Amino acid sequence: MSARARFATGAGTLAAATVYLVTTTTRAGVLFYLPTRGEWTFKPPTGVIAMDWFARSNATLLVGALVTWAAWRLAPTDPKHCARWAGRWWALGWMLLAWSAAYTVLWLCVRH
Amino acid sequence: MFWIKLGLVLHTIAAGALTGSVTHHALVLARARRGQPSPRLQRLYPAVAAGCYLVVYVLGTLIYPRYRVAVRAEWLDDHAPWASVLFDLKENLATLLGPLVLAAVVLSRTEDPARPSRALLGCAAAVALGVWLNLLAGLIVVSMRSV
Repeated sequence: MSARARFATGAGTLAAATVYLVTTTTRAGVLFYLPTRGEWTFKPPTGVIAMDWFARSNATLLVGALVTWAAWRLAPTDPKHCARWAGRWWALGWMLLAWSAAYTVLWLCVRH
Repeated sequence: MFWIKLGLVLHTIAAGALTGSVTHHALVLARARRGQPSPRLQRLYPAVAAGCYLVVYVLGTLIYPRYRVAVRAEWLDDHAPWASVLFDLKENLATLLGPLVLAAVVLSRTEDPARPSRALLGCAAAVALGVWLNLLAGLIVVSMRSV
């Protein structure tokens, strides 16, 4: 049970960090909210305040939760096999989370 | 305007409760690793933290457009650009903490309270540190200018 939980949450964390990093670095498929117009758009016009945080944040949290659920269902039945993969997911997940945080700091400092 | 102010006050209260619950969770887990488990608290704190995280997140989402226009664009970007950066760091860090909050809830409900894993302790410690940073960042930004 415990190995299965670590497997699922490790996979979910890795997936969430991946989505965050991809949407932050590439802006691929990110929906922008224009608060002064109350509109949503994939291509914000220049000179207008556009917010990409809603799409990036909701996608990150949603994918993390869905992958956690899916990994829980699909986890290997052998506890040792499950624990081995859980360790890999968590190691990669922590690395990507740390890189995402570091990238965000650099990106925001350079942007401003 | 009233609803935005009310939202900000509730957002701050929920953030305070979140900070308390994640800090206590990290502390009871550290104690459990030293052989003094508190099974009930080790399951209660992450559940409270998840509820508070959800409230903080939803209220923050509702307030955010007003902040972006009336606070950041009209004042912070001109007078205190470092505060704009600090706020952006805070909101993105909050997103990255989400999966760890979920992981803490799941792991705390499936693991033996007497032997919490390093993954769970790492989640709790990272969430506590991140939430404290966010709380301080939020207070600093609000002290400059608020919605």
